[in-house]
Amino acid sequence: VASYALCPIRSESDNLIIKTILEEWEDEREQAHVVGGGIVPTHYFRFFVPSPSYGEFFSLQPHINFQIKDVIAAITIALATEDSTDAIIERLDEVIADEDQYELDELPPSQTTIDAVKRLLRSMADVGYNNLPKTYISLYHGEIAVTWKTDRNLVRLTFRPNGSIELYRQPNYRDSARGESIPVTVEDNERVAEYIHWLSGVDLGARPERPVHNR
Amino acid sequence: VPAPNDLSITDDTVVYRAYSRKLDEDGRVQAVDFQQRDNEETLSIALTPDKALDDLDVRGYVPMRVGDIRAVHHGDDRCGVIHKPADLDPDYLEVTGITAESAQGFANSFAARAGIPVERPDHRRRIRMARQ
Repeated sequence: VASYALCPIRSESDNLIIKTILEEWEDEREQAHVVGGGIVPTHYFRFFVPSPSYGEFFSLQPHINFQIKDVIAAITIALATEDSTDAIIERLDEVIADEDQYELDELPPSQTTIDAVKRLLRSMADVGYNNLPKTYISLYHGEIAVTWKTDRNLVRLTFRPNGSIELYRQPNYRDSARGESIPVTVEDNERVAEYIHWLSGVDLGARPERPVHNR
Repeated sequence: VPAPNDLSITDDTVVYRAYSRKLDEDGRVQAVDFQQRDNEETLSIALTPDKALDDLDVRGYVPMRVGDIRAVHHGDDRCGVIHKPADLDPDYLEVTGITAESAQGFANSFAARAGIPVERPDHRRRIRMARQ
């Protein structure tokens, strides 16, 4: 019986163990039994593996069932290089100052637009996101787009020159072009946090079919 | 109504799309390069890199399989690939079935499925000279 208990995940060696086990599971088992909310952003979870083809994750309540692909997505985003909001803001300034980011006749975003991005990013710490998943920044004729993505899902915040902000998400974006967007304001950090959490594919409403044993 | 789709252009056909933006942090073409440019009426692609680049002020081109374009769906709708109706050169193609509502989603999908971008130094040089 192989048994692992990792909480929290902090080291590269822990990451390697988890990835190896997940790769084995991917072949052997359709569904992993995962316990614990908040893999992203807190990373706190433990798991128990009685055999190479079967395992359970344990953490705090409430416990949740995951498809193995959801676990992989969650781990992927949790273990991807995270950016502190300060680092993201620094990179935002670098991107804006980089002339290679623009078309020949394109003007940079206004200071008002830049300030809105920074304000919302900084406020993410208030909703538990001192660090954010790998963050992609792009510019388009005065717009600033901030994108987070996994292999499956994508979330984008677009700050437009007219002051409006769009929060967009697209599930299974490699195969499906159908996304949905909502208008938000710089005050809507909780909604942005909800969308970033959604990236992991975690369904917080699901419940396990079998009893759960905390270890 | 299904989008026009020329099935004589097989799924294995490789087509090329010009890109003008700096690559993203992963070295991939950004999704905005798969949205229509101001001078485009449809999403243009070509059967050869040179035709894709044309005289545009772009950085390079990215290859993509026609099958990967047709594989993306928006609900029940899918894209098609056809020859440009008004153009005599059969190497110029366009992607059909993209609407204003679906443009952002398709751009994300195409960017995710696109191949390795190829930068053309001569085009890059031209952009730099134009800035001076």
